[in-house]
Amino acid sequence: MSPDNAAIHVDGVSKRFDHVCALQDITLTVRAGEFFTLLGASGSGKTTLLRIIAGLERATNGTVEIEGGTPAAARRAKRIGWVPQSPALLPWRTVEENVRLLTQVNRSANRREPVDTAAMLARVGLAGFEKALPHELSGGMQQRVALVRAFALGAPILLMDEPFAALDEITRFEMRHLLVDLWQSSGAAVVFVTHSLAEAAYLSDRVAVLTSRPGRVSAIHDITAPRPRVPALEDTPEFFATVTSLRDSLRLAMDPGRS
Amino acid sequence: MRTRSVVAPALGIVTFFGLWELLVRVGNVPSYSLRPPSQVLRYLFNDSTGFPKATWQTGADALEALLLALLIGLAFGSLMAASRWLEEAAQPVLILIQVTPWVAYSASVVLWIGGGSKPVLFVATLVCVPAFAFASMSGLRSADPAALELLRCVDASAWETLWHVRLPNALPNLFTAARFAVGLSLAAVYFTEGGALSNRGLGAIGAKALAATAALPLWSTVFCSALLGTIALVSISVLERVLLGWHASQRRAAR
Ligand SMILES: Nc1ncnc2c1ncn2[C@@H]1O[C@H](COP(=O)(O)OP(=O)(O)OP(=O)(O)O)[C@@H](O)[C@H]1O
Ligand SMILES: [Mg+2]
Repeated sequence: MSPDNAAIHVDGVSKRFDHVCALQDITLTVRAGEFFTLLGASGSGKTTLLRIIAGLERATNGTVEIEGGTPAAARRAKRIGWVPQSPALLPWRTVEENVRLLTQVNRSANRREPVDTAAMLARVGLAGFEKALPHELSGGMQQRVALVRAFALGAPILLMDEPFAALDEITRFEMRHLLVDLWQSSGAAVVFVTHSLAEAAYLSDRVAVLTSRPGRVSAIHDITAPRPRVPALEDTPEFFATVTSLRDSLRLAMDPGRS
Repeated sequence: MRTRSVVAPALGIVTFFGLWELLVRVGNVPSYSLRPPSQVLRYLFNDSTGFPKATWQTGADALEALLLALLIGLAFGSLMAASRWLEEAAQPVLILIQVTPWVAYSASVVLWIGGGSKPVLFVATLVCVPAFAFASMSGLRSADPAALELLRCVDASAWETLWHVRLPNALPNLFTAARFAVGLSLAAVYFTEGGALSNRGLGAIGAKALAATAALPLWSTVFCSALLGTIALVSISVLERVLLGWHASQRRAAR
């Protein structure tokens, strides 16, 4: 049974593809408003787990509850905002039309008080680009549009699959600060997939470290750094210590025999 | 750059017609077969009757066939994109339509349906459907999987997905198919008009002229058909500019 304030409850989820056991017996709870990160090497089943949470993929065993209901019900009620690895902007829509896309479908489930997307675009530095087409934007700008598109739903649950993986290090650094900024005023619970230690350490309340083939939760870290988090945090010894302990945990998860 | 894009094509056309004129005048070409373009144009502007009306009829029929084929092709393409079963059932039939020379059966269609514009529309629509069906199928199917997944996450309906993602994604393919179908539709209309036992369209004038070995009216129908095809292609290009501004094919080169 899931606790009362659980946004997401994953219970004993396993996933098998033909001969690969991608996930084995995953149990975890994401609290409402929490920033929860899945950290793991390539092939550890992070995308698969995220897709199972959204109900885009069926688990071989186990169940997923979202706000006490099924993933399908959460999708119908537009309770889930999805940020894919590629920005997945529609090339024929301008920036503001892309941001509005998700509110133009399944309209009966829209929030009553619409999100101010113009202000949000301005906040991520895209003021003046509302009428631009995606091909006129840099990769980082496109990913910012994808973030705003997800936040524009006003959904209480956001699922993000390595949204910054394709960006260079400097842009990633800026993006995680923007993300924290947007998230802190949204109150949404986030499940964030990454294999960047710095991203996990900077963004998260908790980090689950996954092993590879089969993917299992090998450790869950509490990140106690105070909020609101600001870029200067990344220069502190505490941050460095967090990154180090995540790195050790990830090494252990990838190769348990070595330590 | 602007002047080049006007001057170069004009130069190409003038050279082509100049060589043609020269070939017919200097070479020993019998006057019942090929005529120099200057004579054809003079005939069209001075001596002919009925060409504007015939051109209009042929153009209207070809356009109507194109639009019908687009609608039918889109319907088939959507069904085929939705189901592998339907795709595999429809594919051989569409390919048969595509590869069978329609000149071989168009006379039978006239005998079956009767004279007038109906068999003309039927043949021209039929031969254009496969191009539109295949184009819409692959265009609807090749939509960005990440965008489709995004819409699944908010439980968008199949119609909403079709309208917002799949159809716009199919537009470039549909334009390519339309360019290809313009020539096909015009040819099918012209040829079937010739055998349709009526006085309708350029094809009918052409068939009569051929029977009487009258080269001038025959070549006049050729010129008028070419004009129709050119108008159609220019219109398609303009539409493409407007609707596909986002697509890589329509972006102006940086240089
Ligand atoms: N549709 C599928 N069919 C078969 N095997 C799959 C499928 N999807 C994923 N897998 C397998 O499941 C395992 C986990 O894949 P997944 O994409 O979830 O990993 P990931 O942690 O997201 O990796 P990355 O960091 O590279 O994105 C991999 O071994 C992969 O080969
Ligand atoms: Mg992945």
